[in-house]
Amino acid sequence: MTTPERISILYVDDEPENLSAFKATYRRTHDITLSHSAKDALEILKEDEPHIILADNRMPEVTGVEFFRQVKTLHPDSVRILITAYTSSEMMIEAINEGHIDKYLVKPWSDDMMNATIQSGFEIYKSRKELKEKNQELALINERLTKTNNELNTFIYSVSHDLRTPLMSILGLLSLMEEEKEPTEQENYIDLMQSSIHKMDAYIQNTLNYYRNKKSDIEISKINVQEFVEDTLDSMKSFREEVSFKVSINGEPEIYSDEIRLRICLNNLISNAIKYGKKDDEKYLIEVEGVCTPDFLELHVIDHGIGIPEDEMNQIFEMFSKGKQSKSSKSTGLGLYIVKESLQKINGTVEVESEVNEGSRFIIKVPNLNE
Amino acid sequence: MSRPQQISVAIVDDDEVDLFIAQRVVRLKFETENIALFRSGFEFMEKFKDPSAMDVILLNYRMPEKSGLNVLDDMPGILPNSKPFVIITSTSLDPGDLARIKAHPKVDFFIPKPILPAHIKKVIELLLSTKQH
Repeated sequence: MTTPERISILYVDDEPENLSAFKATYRRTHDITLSHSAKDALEILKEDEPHIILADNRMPEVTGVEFFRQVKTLHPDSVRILITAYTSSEMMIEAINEGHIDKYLVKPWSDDMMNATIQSGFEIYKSRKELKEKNQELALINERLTKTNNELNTFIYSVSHDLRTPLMSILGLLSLMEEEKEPTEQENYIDLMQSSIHKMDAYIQNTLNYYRNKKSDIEISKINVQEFVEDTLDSMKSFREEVSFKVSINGEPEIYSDEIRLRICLNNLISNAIKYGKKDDEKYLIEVEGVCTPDFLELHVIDHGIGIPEDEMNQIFEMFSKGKQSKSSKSTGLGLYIVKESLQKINGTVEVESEVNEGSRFIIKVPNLNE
Repeated sequence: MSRPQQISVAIVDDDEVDLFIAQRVVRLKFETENIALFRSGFEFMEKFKDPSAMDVILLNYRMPEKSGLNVLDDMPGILPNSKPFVIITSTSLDPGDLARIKAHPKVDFFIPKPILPAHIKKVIELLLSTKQH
């Protein structure tokens, strides 16, 4: 059984007998603090927030009503109960209406009256606190929703822009073809249209992968690492004919993980390695090295391409991050972001080492999710 | 018949295909060899030291690292309503982007992509005939 919370009460009265009598009656059941003046009470309130504050209205320096006016600013949640000998007073009515006092007790008060007032006052205090917490929760939810809404706006406009770019390029090329005077240029136009279509297709696939990763739960299955890597590479070979792959996988043959997410990651890394190869390389080599242990799988995707400048390394995994290098038009700005997000879903990590004009090494590490 | 004026044009676009289209369109419509191509705002700022050497700048709006408007902000040599005239190009449908482009004092014209030969010819001729005096 849980012990009921003790109610903390500050009682302010210039009559020492009243203070002593109150403490004697309630010290066993409640936490009582006494003060013989409003000034001292305000000092105490700088440190503490009692559940309930009781104050006599008729005090020498300030009235109870004036005292509560100051208390309300300091501790708006504490319940303020005025003790008065007068049942009707304009000042008190005004104080109640303005919210400076929550309750009042008429002297002489009985124990039953005081007990009932303290209990109902405590309920008010708890309701205020709950309301405050709920409001804070709502404010947080509201903040998160506003952020999500802003992100969604940015996302929608970025997606529409990036989808329209290759489409408008094709439209531009078509209208240009009609006016082209050089017959030899026609072939170039067709190549550029193909490149725009590939770019658009990559963007659509990346957007879908992003959506799938966000929405779907992880699905764990047994993956044969060697087959998985070779399958992924086979599907990428048509993108650049001169590219060659070297695969070396050591350790355990199998791992349990989410195959679709892992495939998306490897696909994106290989696709980047192909895209950012050096233009003049006749035979462009991409290496995939892997180590599989009973606990984890680590895959290294190594290219010998243009590399990543140091000042861009921190941003490459951010959404819509595109490098400022000349090949940036090939980037959708989503590939590495999806790699990072997908790996996070399966408790994996991604790291990168890179040197301009030497190449890059992307290292992904995923745990074995066999339970 | 007189030959079209040999104008000089700078084209700044991070998209290789759009860069090709823009230069081809300008070459076809103005029969000029004075075309300089830049693949990013940074490259443009680095190499384009003398703005008065150009008649027109075709500047893409959404580019990585530095947008077309950021480029204009960072180049004091480019002035409103004088050469080189600035034409912003974009495929963006974001009303915020369009409002920013419209409000920028250094932007002389906005052309939504694709850049069409007849349209670009009309716009550049209009800018050169009405604004250069």
